[in-house]
Amino acid sequence: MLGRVRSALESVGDFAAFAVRATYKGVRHPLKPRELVEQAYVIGWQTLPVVLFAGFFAGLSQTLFLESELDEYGAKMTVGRVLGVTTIRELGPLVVGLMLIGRVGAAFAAEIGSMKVNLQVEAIEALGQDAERKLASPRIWGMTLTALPLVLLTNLSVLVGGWVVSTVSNGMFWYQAQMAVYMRHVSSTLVKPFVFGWMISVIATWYGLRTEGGVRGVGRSVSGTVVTACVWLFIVNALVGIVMLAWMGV
Amino acid sequence: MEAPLLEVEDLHFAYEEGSPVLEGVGLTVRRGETLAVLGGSGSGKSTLLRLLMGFETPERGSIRLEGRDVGSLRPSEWVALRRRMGMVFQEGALFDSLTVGENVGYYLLEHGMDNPRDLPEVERRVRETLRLVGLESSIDRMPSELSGGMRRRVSAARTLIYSPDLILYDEPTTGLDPATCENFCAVMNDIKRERHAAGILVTHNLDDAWAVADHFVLLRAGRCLWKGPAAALKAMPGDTLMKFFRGEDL
Repeated sequence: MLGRVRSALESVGDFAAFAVRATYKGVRHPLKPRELVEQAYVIGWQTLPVVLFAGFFAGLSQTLFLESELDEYGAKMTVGRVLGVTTIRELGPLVVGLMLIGRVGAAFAAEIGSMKVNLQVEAIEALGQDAERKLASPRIWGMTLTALPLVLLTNLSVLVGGWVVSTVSNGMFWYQAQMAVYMRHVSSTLVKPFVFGWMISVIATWYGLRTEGGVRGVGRSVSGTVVTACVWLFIVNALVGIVMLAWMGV
Repeated sequence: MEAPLLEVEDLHFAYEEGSPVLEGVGLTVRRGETLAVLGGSGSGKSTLLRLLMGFETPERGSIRLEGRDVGSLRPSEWVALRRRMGMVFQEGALFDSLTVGENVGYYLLEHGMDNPRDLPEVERRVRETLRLVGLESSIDRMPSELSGGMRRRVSAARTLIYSPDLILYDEPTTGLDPATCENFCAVMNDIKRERHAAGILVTHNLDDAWAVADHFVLLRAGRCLWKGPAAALKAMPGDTLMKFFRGEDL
């Protein structure tokens, strides 16, 4: 029992040290534009269709339910605003977070994990390179910086999804939706992508670089990445919400 | 006599407390010499190479490269030091997503020669190095299209291209047919002769060891049983090495 606690604490310490180190290495030995463009392509461009698709249907189903509920209070016409607020503050960042975990984080863990078990990570180090700087830093910075545009475009696709099925007039829907775009709501959508992108990429690269035990180990790293990142996505989402509430009163 | 390039003294290491892998191992290598470390499975040969590459930190003892104690260096200091060393991995550890030519040119491209005007020079050196290992015609092939022996020769070429002072060979001929083994040993001898590099060959293949080694270290259960020049080992009774591998007293 004591051994397990010690091992868990060591893992937490190792993770925290890795998170700081791998992020800092991207600044200390600045990333080349080519490295960032490659990551932006994989993380941003290739993920965009998935998040837009998911966002569209999330907005569509939300609106169907919201409209009928709001109608009971005679507030159906505010559906655009309610959808806008929930999207900008919660739904958009969470949809993007979940998609980044499933599509990109899992791929990071699998790719780096395979390299680890095939000794390619050691080969990188044997060739005089820092494996964390080479494999983790570009992915961490790439995802941290790319998450924001993804969230903004997803927010838009959620609203479009809602607008498609909404029974209120176009003008009223979009007028109400604009009412949601206040700094007190938008600040959430501007902060969360950076936090989520950094967290997901750090978890995925950490699992990848700690992979051991052949093909099974790669599988464990992928599932560990997905489960850990999903759980922490919701915890951190709540924590960011609480911090912003305390800090900005919103 | 030339000063030693690498000196190892009283090296101790264990992955787990109470289960030593290496106990008091010592060896010396000079430029232009190849040292063969012989031992059965689990004798600590590969662990010794991992310690020499800085992938593990010794519990006790010293590793000196040109007189400088490198055994207790921090990971960041090892990154720079490894540019003077090279390692040929047992299975090659080639980067699967890169062609043979890109694998061989990896070091140059990653260490400042990625400018478009440097590319012709990189290609020239890649071709020259591949010619040395007899694989110039495979420059555009992917690692997955190569046989085991070819992969190891590419791994050797990837190391040779930057002319390291010390090359570590981790069982490079295990599982290869006799003709390919002979070919690989010829490459190792060429490297020694033409580049004046020091080499450490870890193997349990006696024929290969006799073909390339100037000095021998016999390792059993992490302890150094015998070390000395090849001529001295040759002068010992004919069944000495068989006794060693059978686990009998020498």
